[in-house]
Parts: sequence; structure tokens; C-alpha cells
Amino acid sequence: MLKNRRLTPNMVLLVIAILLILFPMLSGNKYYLRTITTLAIAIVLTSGFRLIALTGQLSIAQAAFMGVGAYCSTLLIMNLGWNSWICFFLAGFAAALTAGIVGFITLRIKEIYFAIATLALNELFRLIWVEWDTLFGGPAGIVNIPSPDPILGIHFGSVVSFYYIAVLLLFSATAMMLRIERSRIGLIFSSIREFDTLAASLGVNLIWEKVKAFMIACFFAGMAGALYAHLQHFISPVDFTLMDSVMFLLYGVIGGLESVWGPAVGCTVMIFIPVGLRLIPNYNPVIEPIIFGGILILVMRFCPGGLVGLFQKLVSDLKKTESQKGEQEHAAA
Amino acid sequence: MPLLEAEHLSIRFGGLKALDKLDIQIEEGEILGLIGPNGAGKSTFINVVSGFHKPSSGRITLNGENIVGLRMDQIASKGIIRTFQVSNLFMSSSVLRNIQVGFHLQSGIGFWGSILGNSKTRRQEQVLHEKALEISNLFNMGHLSNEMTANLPHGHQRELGVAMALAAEPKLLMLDEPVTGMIAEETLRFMNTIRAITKKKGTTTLLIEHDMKAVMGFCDRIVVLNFGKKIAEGTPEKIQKNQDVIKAYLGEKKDAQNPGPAS
Ligand SMILES: Nc1ncnc2c1ncn2[C@@H]1O[C@H](COP(=O)(O)OP(=O)(O)OP(=O)(O)O)[C@@H](O)[C@H]1O
Ligand SMILES: [Mg+2]
Repeated sequence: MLKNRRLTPNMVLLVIAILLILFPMLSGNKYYLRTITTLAIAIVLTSGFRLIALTGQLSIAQAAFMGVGAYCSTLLIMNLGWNSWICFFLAGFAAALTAGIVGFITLRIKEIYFAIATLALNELFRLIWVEWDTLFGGPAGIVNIPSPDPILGIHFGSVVSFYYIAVLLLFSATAMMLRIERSRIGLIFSSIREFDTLAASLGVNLIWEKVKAFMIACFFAGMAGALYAHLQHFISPVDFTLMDSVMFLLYGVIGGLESVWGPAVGCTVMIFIPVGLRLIPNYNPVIEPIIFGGILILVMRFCPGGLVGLFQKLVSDLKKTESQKGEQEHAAA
Repeated sequence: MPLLEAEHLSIRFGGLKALDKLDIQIEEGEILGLIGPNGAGKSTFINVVSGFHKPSSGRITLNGENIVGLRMDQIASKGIIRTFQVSNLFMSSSVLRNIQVGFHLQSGIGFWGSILGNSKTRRQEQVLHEKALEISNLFNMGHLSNEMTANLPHGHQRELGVAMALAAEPKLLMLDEPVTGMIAEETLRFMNTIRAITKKKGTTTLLIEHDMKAVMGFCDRIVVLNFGKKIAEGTPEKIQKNQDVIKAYLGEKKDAQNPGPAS
């Protein structure tokens, strides 16, 4: 009886999804709408980071792939006048293709070198955007990026419309991650992280599987980049820096990389903490990096599984004590 | 034509010749035992055939086709599957998930099938799930299928390593000391299971084992290595009487590895 009434993870998800869909109708607060839009983009990026981590690799270039998508879509729209919705997908494909090429070269090397290679890659992309100013607009970036083209008479450009595009992107990325997680794709990805030689001995093509994870992650990063460009109406190399890539790593680690929900939890907590702190009068955001660093150290020291790992541990402990209590009652009766 | 043929196979580790101009032929359908004292090069042979190590020189052919220089997964996809002497499992995954990875080459489920999770994929997944249960039952692990592998008793862990390899439906199965650390009855039961499955499916098997009873009782033919060289080859009866083999083993002090009815 009690069991039937218990909240299942799927129900919690459904409630969150419905709340996200209804939120703009419940609250017109533009600041919160924008924050959640940013949050959705961050979750998409961090989920990609986690997907790559599932194969045992750390990519510290996810912001650069977001930039690849942003520049690709922006240039196609502004220089060639292509439809922004087509460019939205092309941005994903461009980022995935770039990841494929980079991946086939760099994923042959051992894990730590891949992390370093992606770190360098993020800088490389930034330099290209800065130096090749005839195409990418240099340090000043590209301004006056239009809003997405209207579909069936619906216009996009308001804060609410961006919110819904971001939420849609978040839902599709999450659905993809869940399918991967629950299918053989995720099984094979994590087998590589757990024991690559054993996986290879059973026929798993290590390079191709790692490249696959990298490409899927970057596909969504590219789409998120295209959305970001429309949202800001302005992009420049400082939007896609190494520091941003490191932030996605940080969100992932704090939320927990073991669980598919880790990125969402990590991003939500870390993006809403500053929002909360700014409610404090005379608060100076300069100390934020210190707070973030402190949280990271605490999480890594006390819950290596991240916040989701901590939660799962608490729940399983609770269940244990509950079942022990049940046994005692049973024995007493 | 033999299924697998190694010709003049050599590999050096620094100054050490772990395999020295080795010629081995494995015939289709046979269970070939590979024995020899510690450090003879038995595991190295499996490592070279499976593509884990590149040979310094020599040829390896499968059905006449060269396989030297291929990656491990390419060799596996040609039907050569090996187990590892030590640490051969995904320890933090369940028993079923281990076996499921073994299905990688056979699953028939593609990328989009997995993503869409359509009815065809679900059917295929159901079939694989049943097959995985079946395999775990073969090794009396059906009741443990959701258990984390690290929590299994040692014997079951050794069995699971072989179960995964069998899940890949190999043409040539190479087992590196599968019964290490098992007690006599376990060994007997396990070896009988392996023999029954491989004979039924016509799987060619290479068995490395120090347990002489297991080797002598279960192999059709035996090759003996010492210092990377083949010192004898023949039926179990012939090998047991071979003077060079006895000498090679007596040169070693560890009694447990003496050939003969003991151990
Ligand atoms: N990767 C390696 N690097 C250096 N030397 C190695 C390597 N692998 C094996 N050797 C050496 O090659 C020789 C053969 O080793 P191998 O593991 O093949 O022996 P084995 O016959 O399997 O012995 P055991 O019965 O103890 O398992 C040994 O002297 C070993 O030290
Ligand atoms: Mg060995």
C-alpha cells in the first residue's frame, strides 16, 4: 500500500518537466526565466561532459564546441541568409564533425593526455576566433545576431520563447542521455572506463566508441551554442573560454558523474547559489570563485560521488535502517 | 588447414625472448592444452595472438588469413576471444552486465536501434537478456545475476570470466588458467561445463592450465613450452611420458606444478 504511494524517480521527473513547462505562465519574472535558460544550456553542456567521462575521458573543451556551433550557425545565418532552424542543426553537426576529426587523432592517446589535448584545443579555437578576424570578427566578436526565424507565424525573440527553446533542447538532450544510459551504448561506454583492455578483448573498438561519445556530446554542445548566439544577439571569443569548459567539469563533479542526473543537480545548485547570494545586501560577487572552490573541495573530500551520490547513499542507508526496523518488528511479533 | 597457425613467432621484452621462433597449429574443433613452467611464455602467446602484444617477428594466420598487426577488437571480431589470467572482470558491474558486454559482437542492435528503443530493439534486448540468464545458469550463477561482481566468491569470478568469453560466441576460445584457485570438485564441474559447451558448439579451445589433472583429462592434444620454445607436442598420454617435459618441470622446484596424477 505504502509502496504504491511512494514517489518514483520517473514521477519526480514528470513533475519537474511539467513545472518547467508551466513556469513562464506562473511567473513573469524575466530574470528567473533567463537564469533557467542559462541553466538549461549549462545542463546540456555538462551532460555532454559526463557522457565523455563515461568512456573514461575528460574533455576540457566543451565550451569551444559550443563556440563552434555558435559561430557556425551565426555565420551561415548572417553571411548566407540560411534559415536559422536549419542552422541550429547544422551547428550541432559542425561541432560533432569537428569532434570526430579531433577525436580520431587525440583519443588514441591515454586519458590524461586527452584531457591536456582538449585543454589546448580550447585555446586553439579561441586563437582562431581572435586572429581570423575577417571571418570571425576577432576579439570584438559578432554583433546584431538576429532572433530565430518565425515558424508558422510564431515569432521568436522574447525571453519566454528562448526559455522554451532551451527547455526543449534540455528535454531532447536528456532523453538522449537516458536512452544511452539504459541501452547497450551506455553499457559499452562504461565498460571502457571500467576496464578498456577487457572490453577490447570482447570486440569493443575503443577509439570508435570514445569518438562516438565525444561526437554526441559535441552535437548537443553545438546546438546549445547556436541557441546561445540567438539569445545574446552577440558572440565573441570570451564567451567560450577554457574557464567555461572548466566550469562544466566543476558542475559535473559537484553533481556527480556516476549518475545521469548529476549534471542537472550540479548545474542547478551551482547556478542558483550565486542567485541566492545576490539577495544578500552588500554582497560582493568577487568572492564567488572562493565559494565555488570551497564547495568543490568539500564535495571531492566528503562525497566523491557528488551530490547525487550523497543523496543515493542517504536513501540506501535509510532503507537499510527501515528494513532492519521491519525485521525487528517481525521478530517481536 | 589448421584454424590458427603461428609460424616462427617471436617476441622480446628487452633482452628476454618470451617467445622464441614458436610454431603452433590449432586444429578446428580441438581442445589444445598449452602447458609449461612459470614464465614459459604461455600467457604471452595468448597476448600476441589476441593482439595485446605485437610480435617481434613471425606470422599468425586464422584460416590462412594474416592477423598480425590488427587491433584487439578486430581480432576479437574475427572470432578469437581470450580470457585473462588475472583481473578479468568488470568488478563494479553486475554479473548480467558483464555477460552483456560479452554479447557486444553478437547483439545485432545498432546505434539508432538503441537510441529509439523501438519494439524490434526491445525484442532483441529481451532475447539477449534471456541468453545472459541462460549462460549464468550454465555456470550455476542464475541466482547471482544481479549481484555486483566484486562480491562473488572467487570460483564464480573465474567462471564469469569464461562465461563472458563464451557469450561472444568465439571460433577460437583461449583460456588463461581458468581454474586457478578452485578446489578439485569445482574444477571438475567447471571443466566439464566448458568441454560440454565447446564440443557442442564446435568451438576450438586453447587451454592454459597448471592443474595437470584438468589438462590431461580434458585436452585432445598438448603443447609444452619452456623458455618460449616448444619442447614437446602430442596426446596427453605421450606428454606424460616425455622425458624433456618431466625434466623441464623437475627443473622447477614448485611441487604443485609437477605433471602427474598428483595436484
Ligand atoms: N609485458 C611484459 N613486459 C616484460 N616482460 C614480460 C611481459 N609479459 C611477460 N613478460 C615476461 O615474459 C616471460 C613469459 O611470461 P608469461 O606471462 O607468458 O609466462 P607464463 O608461461 O604465462 O607463466 P605463468 O605460468 O606464471 O603464468 C616471463 O619471463 C615474463 O616475465
Ligand atoms: Mg601466464
